[in-house]
Amino acid sequence: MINQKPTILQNQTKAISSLKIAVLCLLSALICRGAFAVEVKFGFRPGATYEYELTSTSSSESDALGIDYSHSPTSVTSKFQVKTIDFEKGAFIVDIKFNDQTYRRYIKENGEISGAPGEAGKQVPFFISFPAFDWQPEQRHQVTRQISLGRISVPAGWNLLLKSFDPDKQIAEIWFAANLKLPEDRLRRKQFSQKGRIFFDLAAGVINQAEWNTEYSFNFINKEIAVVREIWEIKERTSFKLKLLDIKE
Amino acid sequence: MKKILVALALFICLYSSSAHCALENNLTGRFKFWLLNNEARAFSSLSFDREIIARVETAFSIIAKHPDQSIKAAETIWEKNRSFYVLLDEIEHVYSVARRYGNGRFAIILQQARPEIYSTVPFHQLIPGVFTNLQSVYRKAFFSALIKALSLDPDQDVNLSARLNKALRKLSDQDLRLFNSYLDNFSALFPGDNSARMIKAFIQTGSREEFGQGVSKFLRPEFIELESLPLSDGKNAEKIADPLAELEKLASMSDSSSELDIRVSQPAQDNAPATAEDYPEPENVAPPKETIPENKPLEEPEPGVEEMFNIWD
Repeated sequence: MINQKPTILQNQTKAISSLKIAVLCLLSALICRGAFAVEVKFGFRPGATYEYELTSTSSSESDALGIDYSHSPTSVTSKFQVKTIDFEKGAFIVDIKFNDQTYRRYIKENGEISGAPGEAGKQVPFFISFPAFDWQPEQRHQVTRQISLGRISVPAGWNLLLKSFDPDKQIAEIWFAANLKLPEDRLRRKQFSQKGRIFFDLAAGVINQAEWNTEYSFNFINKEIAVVREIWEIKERTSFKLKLLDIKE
Repeated sequence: MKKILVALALFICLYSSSAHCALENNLTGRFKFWLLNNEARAFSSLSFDREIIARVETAFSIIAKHPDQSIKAAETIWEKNRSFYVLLDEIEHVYSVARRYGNGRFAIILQQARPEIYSTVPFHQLIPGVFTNLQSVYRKAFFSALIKALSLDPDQDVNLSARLNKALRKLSDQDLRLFNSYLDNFSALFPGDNSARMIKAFIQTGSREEFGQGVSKFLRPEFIELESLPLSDGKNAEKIADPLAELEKLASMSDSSSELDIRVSQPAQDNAPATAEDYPEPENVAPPKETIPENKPLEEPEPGVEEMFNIWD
């Protein structure tokens, strides 16, 4: 009996020490994680020109009553330049030169558009916007909006995830996916998905590289009383690659 | 107000009934509208979707414009469908020509009535000498105008089966398979509608060589060979083995005779100028020498003539 007491005490001491270690590990992990939290935001330098290359590869296939038609992938590569003019009222004033056409846009730090005078009368696309707070790795961020065309409004959203951060290179890897619910009925079935990733250069405040794929499928059906026939099926795939080529001051 | 409404209702009824009749007589119309309607629905969906997708596809605000895209596979389907519309138009034309003239009845009536000769009678009286030399040209012009007025093309409609086969040859085997699948689906979706089955049957029947022989006899009458022979020459005129020649000769014989009117205006009643040798008629055409009583219908063509849709019934 006398010999058992020190054994219990020893065990308790061991348990307390291991708990301390676990708490310390947890705290250090939290501290480390806090240290890797990043703020992803654009930081164009006024007067600088950012040259990008965009490659899109598209392929498609269709089926008409069991007869297949397909088109082999074709690629289009184009270069464009983003010239930063100024930073005013929380937005960068930039001129985007694309195929001898210039588009002026006011881009906020998080990537949203606050104005596009060169595209007046047009519906400006729904672009990805980054969170305006310190972003933790593996933390999700969602942006939603209603996209309207005519009298029809479609819910759309961007799901973003900060996948990793390289503190040495100051590169953040962000995964993204689009949520888009296209209108369907009993004769028309549709699917759309868009997924990709971004390598964001936090030091330069620009997208270094990005790639994403879109897939769209459309089924057209005829239905008369009990007879249902799939008439046409169309599938389209496009992959995009965006690459920063040069920054000219 | 009430009168206006009644008139409006009447007009709508008349319009819809005439449109309905037009569709009823149309072989390819229902199938074509079905395909066009499906296309329109698909186009509207695709256009809407592409507009919406374009709003998210570029993803980043630094990309101002979507790069140009290549032709999509969907376009291939629409292209195939366009070739089917061309084929359907051809089928419709061949069908309508065959339905109207394919049995040879119109050709028989025309050969019996001889309108081109009757119409020259006043000219014989007014300018007898000159017109005798011109009547061959006039007769040819009369037939050309008649064929044109009937919206026929002598070069293409003369052989309807060849025309149909030419249109079918423009499609590949795969295209024809798709076309047949469309027809089968239409029949499955609308079992009460026979148009797709009729189109299939018509393609099978119409592509045979013997199809539409009556039209070729009508569009290429033998008298055109007369062009090389001067009709004023009595010797040549006697050699002409054309059913019109005798009548024409008679018409030109008495330049100012008042009896001419009687002789020429009653060929269908007595058929006096004609002899059996003078009328080497085609097999499927009733010889004009036979007298046709007023109350008796014209003869049906012989069994060799294609009678696909029981036009005589």
